[in-house]
Amino acid sequence: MYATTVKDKKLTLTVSGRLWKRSLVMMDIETKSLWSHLLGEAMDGELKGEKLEPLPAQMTTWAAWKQQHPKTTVLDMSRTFRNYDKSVYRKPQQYAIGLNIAGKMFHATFESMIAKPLLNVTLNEWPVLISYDIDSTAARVFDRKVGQQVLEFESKGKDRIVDSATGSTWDTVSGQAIDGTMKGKTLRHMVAIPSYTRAWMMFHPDSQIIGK
Amino acid sequence: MDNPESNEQQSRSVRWIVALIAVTVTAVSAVSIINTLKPKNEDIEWARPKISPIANRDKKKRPTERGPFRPVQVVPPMPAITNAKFINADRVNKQVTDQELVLGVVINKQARAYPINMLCGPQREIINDRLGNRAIAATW
Repeated sequence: MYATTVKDKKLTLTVSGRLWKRSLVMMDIETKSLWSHLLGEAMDGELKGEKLEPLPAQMTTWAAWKQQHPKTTVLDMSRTFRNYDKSVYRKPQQYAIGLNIAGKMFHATFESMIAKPLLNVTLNEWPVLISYDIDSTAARVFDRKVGQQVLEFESKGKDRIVDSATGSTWDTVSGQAIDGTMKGKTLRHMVAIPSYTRAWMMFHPDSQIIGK
Repeated sequence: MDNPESNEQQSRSVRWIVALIAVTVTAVSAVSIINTLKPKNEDIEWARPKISPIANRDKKKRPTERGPFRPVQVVPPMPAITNAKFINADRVNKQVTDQELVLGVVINKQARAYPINMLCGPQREIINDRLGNRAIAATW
């Protein structure tokens, strides 16, 4: 999921029909520059070197998404495939979320997230929280820094976590503190890119594995 | 009646058949070993649904580039999707079912879901869109 405005110009992206490292290469109609899908970077053409801003998107089940966002709209097109439900994760080591933390690459496999659904971790000196919901298969990544304070979290049931400093209760869907002295504060969502582990490693061979 | 010569012939034929079977078995197992070494289709990020003959032709010798940007044309360029339709969650009938995966995004308090089953195949991998007053693209 990308924002498509680059240097004040709104780009229209298409499937170029090309693959690079077995992965989609996009083309913008306006300049015909070629963009790597997984890197979000123009690899060739007028915009070479420019980057698309990745947006924090969420891969989850439709049931969970509509429950969490009752006013959501949904794409209405014919199906081109049938079987993309959560059973795709039956080999969870083959799937990962990829993170770019201040220029360094990291990844956590679904296998490791299933084993440890809540992980306080420091990546490239950055305090990060990785939260995984087995039911909806949603992986969420948050910045653990709130103001000047770095928080540590413990699980407190479905979609709920508690920080050890203040005992406030937070919601892992919205990232908001819903109870306690932190109420009203929000954890910043960080971009996590769901990918095949193998594809992520192909683009980021130096990526460090989290939680193993 | 037994004819020693025909017996001799028979056992020679049997030896040939055994040898033939052995060769076949070796060849078949060699092929299956080679197959296990090949990347499986599910490892290729986008190539799940059937696509055009060009891709099929190139499938076996699709190179695994590293380093420099050397993209390989495997299907023709696809027209851009810019006018996709959206409906409210309460209008969903059978377009998407509960356990299917969606790509969801919230921008300026507006939530939108893109069912992955609608984004598969080169003609659908990019949806140009506008949400919460921002130009975005849902990509798969």
